[in-house]
Amino acid sequence: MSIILNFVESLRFFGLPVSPSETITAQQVYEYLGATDQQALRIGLKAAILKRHEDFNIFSTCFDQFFTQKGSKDDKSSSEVSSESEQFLKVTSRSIHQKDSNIAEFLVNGQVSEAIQTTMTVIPTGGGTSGGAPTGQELSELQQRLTRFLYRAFNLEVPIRGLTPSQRQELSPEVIRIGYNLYQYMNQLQAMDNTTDEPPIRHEKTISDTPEDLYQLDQFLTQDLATVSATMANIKEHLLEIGKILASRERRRRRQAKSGKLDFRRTIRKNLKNNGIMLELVQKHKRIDDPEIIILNDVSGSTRWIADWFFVICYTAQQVYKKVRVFEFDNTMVEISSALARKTINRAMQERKKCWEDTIRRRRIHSDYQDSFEDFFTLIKHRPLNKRTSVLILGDCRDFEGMWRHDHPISSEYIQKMVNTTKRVVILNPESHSLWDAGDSVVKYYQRVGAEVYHVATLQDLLDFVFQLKIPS
Amino acid sequence: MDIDLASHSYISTPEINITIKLALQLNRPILIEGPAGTGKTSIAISLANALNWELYRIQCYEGITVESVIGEFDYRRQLLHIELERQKPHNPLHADMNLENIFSRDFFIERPLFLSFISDQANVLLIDEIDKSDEEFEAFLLEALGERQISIPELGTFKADNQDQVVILTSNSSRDLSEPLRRRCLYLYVDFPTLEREKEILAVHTELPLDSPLLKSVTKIVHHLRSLDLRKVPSIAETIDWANSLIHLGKTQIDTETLKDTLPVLLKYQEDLLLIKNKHSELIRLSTM
Repeated sequence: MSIILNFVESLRFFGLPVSPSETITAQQVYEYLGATDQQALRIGLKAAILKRHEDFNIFSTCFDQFFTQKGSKDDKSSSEVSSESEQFLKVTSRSIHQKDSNIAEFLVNGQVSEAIQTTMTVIPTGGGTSGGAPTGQELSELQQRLTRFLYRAFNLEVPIRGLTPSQRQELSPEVIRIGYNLYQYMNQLQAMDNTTDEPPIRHEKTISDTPEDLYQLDQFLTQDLATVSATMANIKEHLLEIGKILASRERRRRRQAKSGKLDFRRTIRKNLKNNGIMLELVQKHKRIDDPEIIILNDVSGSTRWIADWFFVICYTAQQVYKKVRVFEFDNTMVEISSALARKTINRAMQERKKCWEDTIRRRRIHSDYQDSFEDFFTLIKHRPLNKRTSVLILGDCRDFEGMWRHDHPISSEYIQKMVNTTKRVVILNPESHSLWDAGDSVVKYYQRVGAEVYHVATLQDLLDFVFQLKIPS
Repeated sequence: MDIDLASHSYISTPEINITIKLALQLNRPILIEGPAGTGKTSIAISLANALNWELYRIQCYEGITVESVIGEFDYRRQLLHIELERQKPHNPLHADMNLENIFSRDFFIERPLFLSFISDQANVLLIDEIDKSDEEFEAFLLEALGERQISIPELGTFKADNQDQVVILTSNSSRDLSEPLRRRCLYLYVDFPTLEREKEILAVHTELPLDSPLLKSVTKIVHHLRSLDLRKVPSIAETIDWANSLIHLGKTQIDTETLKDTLPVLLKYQEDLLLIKNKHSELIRLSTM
């Protein structure tokens, strides 16, 4: 059992949620298939433990390291050092203390025992020790130092153990291999250190699922957006989770909304066979067309901070709305709908950046609603707006570089065109009411031509709006 | 137990074979995920054929209810029974009527899940496209998959005692399935086949020899198309259709004109056809390499 337990523990180190029942199944597989046929064992354990294809890389690399060791660097010639390892060693030599650097190099090369040996000889530098084995505190400090450094070197946002499915998917086999070595190293050090009961890896604080943290998340959702200090990395996965729940609720609501009023004629006809007793009610089937939603997201400097969150919400919203097109603009407009099709939010964000590489006009970052809306109509010329379309604009209506015609900004003419051709044009403005129409804000001109403008104060408002098309109070 | 899926036109892989063996040995359901058109459903059908077991199939859709997979009471029969009891001379209205058994199995219309669980015969239960169903339905399945039992309040709990039963769930990942459901299943991911495996599949379904130039060209073109950013990549079934279409047209090789004329068999969206509009000769060149 210990073999499978140890293997499962190494997978859990990367954040794979392997439950005790899956571990038992894995043990049964191990007993049934045996360890002789490595290929069969790999397939069997994969079937028992893995629950998402996205985690295959982690499983496969850990399996190689654990059962066959063929993935270790020792098997490769020295010329086959990967570019990632090279990059890692380059960073190591620059930004880590020499004694730690040696340990990190051993870990990259898969020489865990050498790393342990070095730790035992070079780390104890005093603190009551006299050249013997390092104390628990010294080891703990080293673990923290090394772990933090490894995360930084590989651009990981959170400790490996806390990685979410989409973050795990981004890990390359090379990073997984080094991470596995780190896990072995930490484990062995922990086994030697009897003075502390602390887990080998210290968790950095991230929002997790403990009641206390969920309370914090709840607070975050209802906190004024202008005062939110949490980073995108900490919140996006949770936003996705919340979005999924809302999407499922919305799907159910829309399904129920499809059954219409009682169809008397068909009910009577159907119940003739029951001697006229109304046992079966027949309801009219309401045909509800999928709403067509066009979202325009202002990503200019002044609203950039909320645009990222809005993008995550849009990414989740596609679970409910099949006909959603998303555009982003500052002084020009691009369509980023293709980014929504990506399987993970991180890839969607990368694709979103790529969409900005090909713009109609040169990007100047400052907001120009006039040019942006002009580009918008160019982009949608093949699929023009219609009365089933709702246009949702997230922006502060600060038309910094837009031109004016007589007494109104030209951009308001485009808004009027949208109002005339669509079902509804809604503008969600994250700025507080007191700032509307001050300076370059043109809110009143947009309201004048028929756009509905609402203040969105919290993330909850944004979620409500996108999932239920509700008007925030 | 040796399972010969190939004799039932399914070209399997070691991964599929071992996972099926484990499912039979450990009595666990299999959750098969993968892109649409990679042969997930065919695994269950071929397995039932290969083992000569009965196949029960539940096709999931949005709004599928527990009643439509377990069963429901036939209220028409119940009503008739009540009428019959009422009209008995010694049984005046509402007095001493024998209504206790109207919630027995005699009045119950049994549906695939129930039938599969109570069957003495070895069987394969296919729950197809589970991702299309709602979360409530998925939650209902947990008892059936985990404890291998189903509970009907009026009838009690039915435990599947038959050890010769395999439950296969398929999903296209159009919705993320819940962790509890995943935990109860063995997991199998079926991706598009490799070039060699697809050739074997085509050879079985088209009766073309494995070394046929047409077979080689078809698989190469299809593989190249799958690598493009298409709205819908060609499935195995569409590839077979395309190969058969070419055979019916009497083609032994693919030229630009033939490719242009027959591509709609493979690509079902105008935007996909437009995307490769100028790449026909390149595809032909690739297919002969």
